[in-house]
Amino acid sequence: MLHILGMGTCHAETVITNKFLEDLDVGTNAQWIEEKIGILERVSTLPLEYIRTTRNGDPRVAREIASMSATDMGVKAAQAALERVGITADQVGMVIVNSCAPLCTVPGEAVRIAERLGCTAVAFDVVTACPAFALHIDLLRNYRPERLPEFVLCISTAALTQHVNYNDRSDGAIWGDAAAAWIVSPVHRGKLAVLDSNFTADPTRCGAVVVDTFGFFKQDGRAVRDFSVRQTVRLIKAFEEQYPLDWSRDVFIGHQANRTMLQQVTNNREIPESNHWHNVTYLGNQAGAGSAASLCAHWDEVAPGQHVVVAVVGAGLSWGSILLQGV
Amino acid sequence: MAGGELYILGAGAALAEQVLSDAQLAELGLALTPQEQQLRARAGVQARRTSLPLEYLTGSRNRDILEGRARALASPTTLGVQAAQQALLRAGISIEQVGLIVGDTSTPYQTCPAEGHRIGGALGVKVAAYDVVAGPAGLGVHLDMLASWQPERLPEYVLCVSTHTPTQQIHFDSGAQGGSGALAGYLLGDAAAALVVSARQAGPLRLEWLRQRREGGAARGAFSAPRQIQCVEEHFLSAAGVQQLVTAELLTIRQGYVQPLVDPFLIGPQLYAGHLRQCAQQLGFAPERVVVAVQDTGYAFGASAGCGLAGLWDTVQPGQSVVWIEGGDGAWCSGVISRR
Repeated sequence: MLHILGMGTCHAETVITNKFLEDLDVGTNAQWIEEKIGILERVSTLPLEYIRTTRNGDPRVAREIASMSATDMGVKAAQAALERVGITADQVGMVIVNSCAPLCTVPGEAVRIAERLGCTAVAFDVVTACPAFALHIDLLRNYRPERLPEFVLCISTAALTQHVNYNDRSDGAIWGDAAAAWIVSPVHRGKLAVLDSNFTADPTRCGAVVVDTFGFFKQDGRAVRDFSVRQTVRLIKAFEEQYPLDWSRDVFIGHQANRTMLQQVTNNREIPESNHWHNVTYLGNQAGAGSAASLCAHWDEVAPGQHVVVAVVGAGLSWGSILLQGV
Repeated sequence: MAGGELYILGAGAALAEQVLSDAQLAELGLALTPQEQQLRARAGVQARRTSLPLEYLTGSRNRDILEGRARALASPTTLGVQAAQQALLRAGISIEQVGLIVGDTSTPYQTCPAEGHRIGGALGVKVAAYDVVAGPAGLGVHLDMLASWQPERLPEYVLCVSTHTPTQQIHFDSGAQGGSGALAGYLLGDAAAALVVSARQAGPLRLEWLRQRREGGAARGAFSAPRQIQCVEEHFLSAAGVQQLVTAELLTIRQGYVQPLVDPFLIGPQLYAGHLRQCAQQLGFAPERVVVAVQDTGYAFGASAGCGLAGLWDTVQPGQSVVWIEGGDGAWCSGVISRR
C-alpha cells in the first residue's frame, strides 16, 4: 500500500486583489468576481505594475520578468517536502512532474527540477493539468510494489498567471501561481495511506480548456463549470458507495478552481464547511497544485482513521479521485 | 525488468510530407562549420522532413514560429494520429478497444491539455489519456512504465504516441542573425511514432527486457526549447562518447538479459545513428542491422526510435532480436525486443 509521507508547497508572493482587477477597467468588478467564482485574492509571479501597464499582452515577456518560473516553484515545493519527510534528494528514486505551463518543453520539467535538487533518479513528466494529484497517485498504484523505489517525489507546478490575458474580464480572476510536492512510498508508512484512487478522461472535450504554449489560457467557462460540479459530485458519490465515509469526521478536498463551484459540491453531498479543506479563496486556481496544497496546509490536522477524499477535475477533460486515510 | 510481459501488437510511423534538402538549406545561406558537419555525420541525417510549406520556409525562414504553426501542413497531433492509425491497423484493433492513451511531445501547440488528450480527441474516443514525457527516451519510458505495472491494472490495449514537429520551432537563420543556427536546420525533422501494447494479448513483438536510468549531474540535453529550438553543441556526445555509452548499455543489457541475441537489429540513439552504423561491427552488429531512422527524415526526438521500429515491422523475422537503446536529456532506456 502506498503512503504519502510528506508534502510541501511554494506559492508566488505577489497578491492580486479583486480591487486591482476592478481597477484594470476591463469590465469586471470585485462583487462579480466574489459572487461568480468566490475568489478574493490570487497569487502571481508577475509584478502588479507589469500587469497594470501591459495587461500581459505578450506572454513571452512574462517569462522574462516573472519572479519565479514553474521550475523554481517546483524546486522549492520539493525541498519543503523533502525536509518535512526528513530525507535528502539523493534518496529519491523517481521524480514525476506535472505542469500545464512548463518553463520549456526541452528538456522537460522533471529533468530540470531533479537536476536542481541534485537528484539523479529517473525523472519524467506525467502530465494531465489540474487532476495531476489523482493521476500521479493512481499511476503509482499501478506499479508492482517491487518496481517502485523507496521514495517517489511527485510535483505539480505551473505559473499560469503568465498565460493570462488581463484584458479578459474573467480570466484574470482565476489563476494563482503555485507548486505542490508530495513524497510517496510503497514501503514506509506515513501519515496518510492511499486506500483507493482512479483517473480517467474524455479527450473528445479536450478543447474546453487550453493553454497555448506561447500564448494565453482559454476556456469554455460554462461547459467547464457544469462538468466540474457534476463530475466532482460523481467522484465523491462513488467513494461514498464503497466506503464508510462520515462527513462529520472525514474531509473533502476538491480541485481549487472556484469557491462557488466547490460550495455547490459540498451542498450536494452535505459536507460541512469545517470538513471541507480549500485554499482557492486567497490563492486562486493553482492548477494541479491546488488540491495538494490544500492538503498540505492541513497536514497536521489529519487524524488517525480519518478519511480524506480528494476529487479533482480539469483539462483534457480529465478527472480523478484519491481516498486517503490517516494512519 | 523483472517479470511482467508486454507485447507490441502494432507499430506505426508518420512523417511530415515536405522534404527539406541540403541544397535548400544551403540556398538559405545555412552552412555547417566543420564541427557541425561532424555532428551531422554522427547523426546520419541526409535529408529531413518538415511540416512547414517549403515556399513559406524558404521565404520567411520561419522567423515567427507562431506564423509557422499557423501555416504548417501538419501538427504534432495530426502526425500522432496518423502514426496511431498505422499502429492500430497493424495491431488489428480499433481505437475503441484502447483503454489508455499515453502521449509524448516536446513541441506541443498547447501545454494544456496533454498531447494524449488531443490525440484521443482527434481519434474520437473517451478514454483515460495523459502524457509521459521523457525527452528522446520517450517511448522507451512508456514501455518501461507499462511493463512495471500490475497486469490487472493495465487495460487490454494501450496506445503510446510520441510526436514532434521541431522544424516548426526552428528559425532557419544563423545564430548571428537571431536564428536557431544551421545545425538545428540540418538535423531536425518532423515525425511521429506509435505503439499498441498489451500485457494480455500476445503480439508479434515481445518486450523481453528493459531498463530505464538517468545520468547524474547536469541534464545533458543536446537541444533546448524554451521557444525557438537551439542546439546545445557542448552536450552532443563525441564519437568516443557514443561508443562508450552504447557499449556500456549493451553490457548492461547482457547482464540483465542472458538469452542469445539472434541476428539482432540495433535501434540505438538516433541522434548518433550514423556513427553507430560506422562502428557497428565493433559493437557486435552487422552494419545493415543498425537502424538509421533519421537518414531521410531528420531527428524527431522521442519519435525517431519508434519510427525505426515501425520501419522494421515487416522485416524482423520470428526469433530475431531488436536491441533498443535510446535517450538523451539525461534519461536512457535500454532493452531487448524479440519477434515471436
